This record gives sequence, structure tokens and C-alpha cells, in this order.
Amino acid sequence: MSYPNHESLESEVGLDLSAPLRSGLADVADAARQPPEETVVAAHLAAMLAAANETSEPVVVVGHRSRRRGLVVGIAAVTGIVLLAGLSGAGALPAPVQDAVADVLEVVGIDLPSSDASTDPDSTTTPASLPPLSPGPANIAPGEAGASTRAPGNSGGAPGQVGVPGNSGGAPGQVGAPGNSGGAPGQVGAPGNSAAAPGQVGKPGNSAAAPGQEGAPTTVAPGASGRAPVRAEKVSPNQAAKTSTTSSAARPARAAAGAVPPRG
Amino acid sequence: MIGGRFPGVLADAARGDAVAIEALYRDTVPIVRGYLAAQGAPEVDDVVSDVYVSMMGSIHRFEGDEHSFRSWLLTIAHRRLTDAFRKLGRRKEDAWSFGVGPGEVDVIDITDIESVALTRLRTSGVMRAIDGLTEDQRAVLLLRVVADLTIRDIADVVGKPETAVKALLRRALASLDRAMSIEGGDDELSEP
Repeated sequence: MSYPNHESLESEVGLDLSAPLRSGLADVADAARQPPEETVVAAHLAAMLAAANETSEPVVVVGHRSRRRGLVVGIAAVTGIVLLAGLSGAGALPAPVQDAVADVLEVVGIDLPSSDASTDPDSTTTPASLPPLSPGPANIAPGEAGASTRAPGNSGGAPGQVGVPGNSGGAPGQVGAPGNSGGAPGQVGAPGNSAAAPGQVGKPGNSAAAPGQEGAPTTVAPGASGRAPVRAEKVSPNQAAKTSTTSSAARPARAAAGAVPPRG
Repeated sequence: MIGGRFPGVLADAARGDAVAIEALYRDTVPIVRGYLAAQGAPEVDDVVSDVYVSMMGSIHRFEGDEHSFRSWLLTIAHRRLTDAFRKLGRRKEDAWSFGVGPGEVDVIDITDIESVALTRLRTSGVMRAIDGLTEDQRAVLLLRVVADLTIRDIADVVGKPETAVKALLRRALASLDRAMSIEGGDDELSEP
């Protein structure tokens, strides 16, 4: 054999190899290139075939990645729901999101404040501690005025604001007409008219009328004044009772009726 | 060399065909085993077995011609050799330390032809000269002389630039030339 190719080797390195080195390298190549014994060959081939069988068998890994992905998505979904519900319960969500979350969770029996209720600082009043509304034009529950910790007939104002008695729901510094509440800032409603959507003109003296109470029939659920009609239709009687005790829309009428003495 | 049948043989071997696997093995084992034996691999047939088992584990991912296949296979052999020396806790520089001395020749296990041939070469001085090379010089020289790889292929195997491989090969041959001339002088002097 002629290992290595001396001419190409010499040209590659730019050296002229001596004769002893040439023959010595050829001897090394010949001696090293001896094939192994047949018993060794058989052992090597058996090992190779075993390795080939191991690698040729299809290895199906079922959904390691997809399972992990599902777990991550599940954890993220649960975290999102809990976070959303918590924020909604605290009333810290924007009004549309708050309403949407309240609507969705109401289906599964979780009662969350809606956007209008969550903006009311008094909406945390416990409804069960208050007696039901009594019939009357102003929806004043007997003894309710004494149980209230709010300023008489005045709510929704900024701290330190001195409002006109019987005026509520206005923006800080806003002066509404006496007995007018629930309107949008700057909205002027008719005296004694409440629960009016912006631009809505209600019938005077027709606020938060519970069933059986005096007043013209409205689509507003009992005590659910200050809400849009669509929202009010979904309110259950219990919620209505709850909301009616906290809704600022009922307060002007109370104040107007003189059941609660005005502050100051 | 397998030649024009190589792509088909490679594909069959990747599918586990025994005939194709044996064809690849018999065609390449002389250079693989020769390189490992010349490097002084411990338990050379075990290392050869490791090399071919590793080859079978990744042969389905190999793409290239027969020339590239040999280079790829010797890359595996080079790495398995490093692993084998690491297991023994010794450096490749010590590869030729056994059996080199005049009094140590008799303790070498000379049960096969290869051992006998290499032992003769060691005692004749060629292998002693190679033993005096650095690890990189010896690897480059043996890949060129025993495995008959090109400079570019050797660069791929040892992970060095072609210019570095060429420089290593040049220095290795120069050192061998000097050592052979000295050995020749010593042998002549030592002749009775």
C-alpha cells in the first residue's frame, strides 16, 4: 500500500520528507489499518444492530409539550379569573368591564356590584341589616334615617363638600336641583325625578317606586333607581332591596320628604 | 470505498438493514480502528464498538457523501478516544508511554497482528518519534497518514482552522524528520 500519498502530503505542508520518514509513515499506516478479528467483528456488528433496532423503533412521546402548555394556560386562566373577580368585587374595573363581569358571575350565583353601584362609595352597606321599604311616595323605610351613617340626604359628594340638602350623585362641586339625583354631571332633571338616564325625563315624583307603591309604572325594579332600564330589569328583588338601601337615587326623595333632617 | 452504491447503502443502514450496516462497518473499520490503535487507545476494540454504536444512533441524521461520512465517523472516533482517556485519568500525551522503553516491550499484550506490527514499529523508532509529538500534532498526523483525510476534513474533526491544521502537520513532520534522523544514527551506533 502507499499510505500516505507522499506527494500530496509534501505539497500540502511544503516540506520534502526524507526517505526514512516516508517509509516509516507508510509502515505506521499499514500496521494500524489491520482489520479486527472476526470474533470482534461479530461482536461489533451485533452491538450495531442492537443500536439500530433501538433507534428505529418509533418513540412516541405523548404530549409532554402540549400537557405543559395546557397546564400553563389553565393556571393563567384561573389567575386571570381570580384577579378579575377580585378587582370587580373591589369595584376597581372600568364600568363596561365591571358590568360584564358582574353579569357573567351573576349567572353562576356570585353577586358583584355593577358599575353604578361600585362607583357609589356607600354601596358596601349591608342590605340584610336594613328593613324593607315601606310604601310611600319617597320610599323611605321606617326608621331608616336613623340607621344611616351618611349625611342626611346628601351623598356622592367629595369630602368636605357641602351640598344642597337632598342632592346626591353629582360631581364634586356640582350643584343640582334639590331632590334631583342620579343624573349625569351637569344634567338637570325635574325636581323629585330620579333614576333618569342621561337625557331621560321622568315623571316628577316618580322615583324608585316599588311594586305597590304610588307612582307611575316604570321599568325600574324596586329600589333600583339610578340604573339604566336594561340593567334594572335583571335585578332580583333581593338585589333591589339591597340596592335600594344604598342607592343614592332614593335619598333625594327621602330628603325631599323630610324624613331625614339635612346635614348642617 | 463503497463508491456509487454509498447513498443506497447509507439509507439502508439508517433503516436498520443488517447487510448495509455490515458493508459500512467493514469499509470503514480499518481506518477507525487504525487511528484509535495508533493513538494508543485503551481497550481499542471497546472504543471501536462505542464509535459504531454512536454512529448507529445518529446515522439517520447524517447527510453527505462517502467522503464526508468518513470524516464524520472519525470525528466520533476522536471524541470517543478523548472520553476513553478521560476515563482512565490520563492524558493522550501518555498514550505511547507503555512499551516504549527497551525493557518494557515484553509486557505488551501482543495477541493480534496489529499489536505485533505496532510494537515492532514502536521499537523501530517511528512510533517513538510520534510519541514525542504533542497531542494535537499526533492527532493531525495520524488523521492524515492513517485515516487519509484531507486538511479540511482534519480541521472538521479536531475543530481547528485549516491553517492551524496545516501548521500542526508541518511541525509534526519536521519533528519526526529530526527524530528519525537521530534514531537512525542511534540505531546504527547501537548495532553490534
